[in-house]
Amino acid sequence: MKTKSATSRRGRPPGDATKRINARFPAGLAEKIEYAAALRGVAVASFIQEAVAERADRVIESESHWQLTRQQAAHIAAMIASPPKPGKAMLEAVKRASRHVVIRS
Amino acid sequence: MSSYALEILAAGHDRAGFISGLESVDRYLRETARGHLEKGVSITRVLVEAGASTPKPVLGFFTLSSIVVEAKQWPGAPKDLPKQAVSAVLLGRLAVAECAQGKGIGSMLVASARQLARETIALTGGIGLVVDAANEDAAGYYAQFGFRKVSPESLRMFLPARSLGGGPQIPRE
Repeated sequence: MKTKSATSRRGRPPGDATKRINARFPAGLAEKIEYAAALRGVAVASFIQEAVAERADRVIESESHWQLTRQQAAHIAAMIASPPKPGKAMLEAVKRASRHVVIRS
Repeated sequence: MSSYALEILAAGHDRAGFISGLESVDRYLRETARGHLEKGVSITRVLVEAGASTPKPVLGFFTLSSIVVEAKQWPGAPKDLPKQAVSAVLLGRLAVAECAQGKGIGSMLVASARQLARETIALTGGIGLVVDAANEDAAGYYAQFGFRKVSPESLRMFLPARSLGGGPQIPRE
């Protein structure tokens, strides 16, 4: 249920628009946005809201969820099948950290 | 005697004074990292001088979280990986203060993140450590530690779980 409503809300923020975000736009960009909104036949505010909400969804999702393409999955599977041994740089880093760093928890 | 301590971000750390040269990362530490910690989104650890007194200057930091990795198929996977989602550890951000650069701090942060990722995977499972490089330079930096790009156009890199071992243990206090 939760995912379904989240998906249907994508690009369309729920609730009344009550909160104001101040942002200045370069003149050229502002004109472009106004023109694009006019082409779509929607108000500038809702055009910006939709575009930004979509982008925000993508950014947030990318930090918790990773959908692999077939090629990416093949690449990761290959790395899992033959994991690279730690190289010189990594071993030196680990050695340095083991000497100079203490982890406090 | 250790010179540096890795601590979970707390009020006693001088977040405002941290400048890495990459504004988005500095702002994350200043404004977002503690909120994410409190909400359980991610954990940010900072490197400080072992004997520093509050407000402790932050020499560098990194953020770990968990990420769900999904694929419809895993072509060529050793023992078929599950079709559903698997988890991995995400190294989302890592930065060194401008004033502390050139001392190997970054490499010690990478080594610490690797050890913590290995421990997390040992406890809860996971296919490896994913890192989001901020730009091509950063991608080159991670590549020397064995991380590989998963596709040429993306700055997301990967190191499998079995590559996270080897080398001495970083001590705990």
